[in-house]
Amino acid sequence: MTELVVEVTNLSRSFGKTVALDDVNFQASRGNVYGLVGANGAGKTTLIKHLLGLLRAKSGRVRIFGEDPVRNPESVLKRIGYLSEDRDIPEWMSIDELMRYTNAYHSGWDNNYASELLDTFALDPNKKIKTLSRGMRAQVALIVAVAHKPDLLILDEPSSGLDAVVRKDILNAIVRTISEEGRTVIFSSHLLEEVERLSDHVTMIHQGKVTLDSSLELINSSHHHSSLCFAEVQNSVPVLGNTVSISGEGRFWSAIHNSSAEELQKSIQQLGGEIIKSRNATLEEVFVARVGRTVVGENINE
Amino acid sequence: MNSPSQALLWSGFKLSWPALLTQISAVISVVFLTDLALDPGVDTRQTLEATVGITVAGLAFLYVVTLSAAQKIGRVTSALGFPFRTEYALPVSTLTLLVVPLLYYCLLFQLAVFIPVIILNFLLLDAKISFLAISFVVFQFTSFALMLNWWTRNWIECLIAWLVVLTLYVNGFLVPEFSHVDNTLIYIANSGTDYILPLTLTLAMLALTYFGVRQQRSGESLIEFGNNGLFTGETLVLRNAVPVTSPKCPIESPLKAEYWKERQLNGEYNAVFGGLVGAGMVLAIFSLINFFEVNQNSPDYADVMILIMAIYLAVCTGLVVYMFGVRYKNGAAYISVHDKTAAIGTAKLAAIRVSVSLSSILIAGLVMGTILWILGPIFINGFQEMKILFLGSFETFSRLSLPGLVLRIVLLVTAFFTALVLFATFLSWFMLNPRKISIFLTVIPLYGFLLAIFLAVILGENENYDSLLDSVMRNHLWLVVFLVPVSIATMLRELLRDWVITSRQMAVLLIAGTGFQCLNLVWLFGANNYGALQVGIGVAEIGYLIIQGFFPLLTAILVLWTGNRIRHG
Repeated sequence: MTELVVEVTNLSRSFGKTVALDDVNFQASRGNVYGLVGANGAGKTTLIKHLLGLLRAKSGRVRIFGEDPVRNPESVLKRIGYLSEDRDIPEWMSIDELMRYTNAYHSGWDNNYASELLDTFALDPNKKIKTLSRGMRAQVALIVAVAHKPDLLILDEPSSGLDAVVRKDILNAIVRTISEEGRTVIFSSHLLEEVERLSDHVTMIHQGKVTLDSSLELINSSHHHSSLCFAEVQNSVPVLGNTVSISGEGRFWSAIHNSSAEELQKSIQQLGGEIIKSRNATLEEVFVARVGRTVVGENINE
Repeated sequence: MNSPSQALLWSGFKLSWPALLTQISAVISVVFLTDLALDPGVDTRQTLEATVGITVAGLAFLYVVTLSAAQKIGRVTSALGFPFRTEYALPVSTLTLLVVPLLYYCLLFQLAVFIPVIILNFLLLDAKISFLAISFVVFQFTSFALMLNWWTRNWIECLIAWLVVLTLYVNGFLVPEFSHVDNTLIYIANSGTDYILPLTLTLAMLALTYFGVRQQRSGESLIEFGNNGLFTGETLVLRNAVPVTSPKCPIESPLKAEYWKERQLNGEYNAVFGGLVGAGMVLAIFSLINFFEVNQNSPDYADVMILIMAIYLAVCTGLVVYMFGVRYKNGAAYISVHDKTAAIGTAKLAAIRVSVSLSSILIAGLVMGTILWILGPIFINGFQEMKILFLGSFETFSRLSLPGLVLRIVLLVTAFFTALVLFATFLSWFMLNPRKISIFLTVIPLYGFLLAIFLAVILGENENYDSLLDSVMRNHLWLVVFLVPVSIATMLRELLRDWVITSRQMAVLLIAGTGFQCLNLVWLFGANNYGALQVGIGVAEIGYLIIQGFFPLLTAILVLWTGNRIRHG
């Protein structure tokens, strides 16, 4: 049986009248990379805060390594590396001081790995963090999140502030190394191309609800993008079975569907149309389709 | 909002109204409580003096909170220079950017003075008031206090400017020499022309501030002194400014690392600095008085002690205010996620923070006291006599037995620490929930006020009214008495639920708290303090005096509860 690192059960959370999380279930097992995607305000950061014990689960249950992160912050956080969205690190410290400070908390701190990353990023350990640029701070924050080889690495918008080289090469390498060593990574990102590149598993959150939770492989193989052509102009959105979203106008429409092209073909034939072209949908297309931003009137003619 | 000025005013109002409301409510409530505590036979002079003192203390709170809320970075060490830095990018002239907030804060402080004073005057004092004179003094103090901190980011320039302005004030150039009518709030200037010179100097300071802010807006400074950044506000941190080798962060344990971090932020560096600044302020004020021979006689011993204690309390407040790691950032309360995700238990974190803050208070006091003791005779007239008076005040203690002496020291130190920690906790919660707290604090005096009016309407102002009011007060005192154990029980329940403390640790806390209560009872009844057994003091009052013995326990639990709430939302 796969060891569960994160287990979130029926978690709900509201801030006043705003529902941030609505009956969320989420699981993460060892050795996998999980991508959390969702629009701004979807509830990704609220979920991450619950995983870190920064918010108490008022309804539902959160377990990290089988423990409650609110009741056992010490033992849970020791095994977590966290890169916050706003790169929140003590600005008054020098890089070296921050390394030593973080080292004290984590017995698995790898000095060689930290030095190697410092060299890679060309960072001077004696520099005060407040004198660093935003990108450099992001690099320092990344080092302190990963250098203790955490069992669970949580990255909130890891690409923010990082240049293209660091993002594509170094971040990729770090995340891959961690998962290959049998540890778990959960990261949230707006860059769906990045999520597609790094993740084994994608969880999509929309308005506090999990709308899709599946392996990337399954998402790719089950979601298709098909270009449709109808014999007659369609004055309203055509109703087709198993479509997640449909957009277009007149005779030409485009659909994201989680059925095979053959199944869609049967459905479309009843309306006097046909599939011109079909391919696997990209994560971005699935995301746009799932968050419900169907665009009627947009002419897609592939 | 149709103009930049309106937008700036709106932003200033949104950031400051909770603090204004809190200040007004707190001043009214505290003056009322003080008035109740005073002997009814005493004339209104004491209430009048208390009103003035409490209002000034309230203004200090308002100044710190409203200006900190406006800061991009809340720490006092970074507070130099014009605070509305995020507004630099707005399409608005520097003059508008400077003058609109300046005038708004001047108005705010006028409201903060006159609203409570008018209400208290109507209800208690019935004294005549010079609105123009008081308004002018408040305006001068507010505008200068703001402009002196805004015109430069260089702390040496700022310090020099403060000394120059203090010199002008001591010589009567900033505020006309008023003659005060006894037992009133009437202040009379010799003639209207006395206001011309102070106003001219205010305009000169405004011009200096305008040019200073204009330079800051483009990343420069008015005077190119210390342009290497050594003297800017950000470097006004002793561990950076003084070539003291700070010890390296220990890596053996999280506890040691956290203790190291807390010491760097709120520990001996800040304490020594606070002590130095506090002593420096006392000496600067008295040396200016001596230099200009404003007062040929030695200053009054009580005045000197009040000034020293006021400045020391301000230093203490500065040392404990960030105890819970809550500070302002861009007008909102901010707690570092890095701090919250440190792999350390909440109770350990709270214990480290409180112990560092309290030891800093002691260090700052020692530094301040030592400097004043050594340099006082040089700067303060008649300091030797004051030393003798000060030492004489300890004679009472020398007559005590050793246990009695230890008891008093323990009670005094614990009460002082408890008060400071409670104040720090209040400030943290105020930063987190300014609106809710300000409204809550307003409801209490409003309730008291309405209740008093209700009783007056029913009974009229006669003896029945007074006795009924006393009875109602006593009954309400029971609420406070019961609130303490109920709060302790509620918070303990939450601490146990979240495993912040174990049941064994809870037992230790309760035993220590009860132990302190025993000391309190020995003090209360053993030495017949407060005259509790003679005056015929009511049961409710005795209950209240007894319950005070649980305040240290309540504070310790409140600190843990606050730490837990802040960390886990």
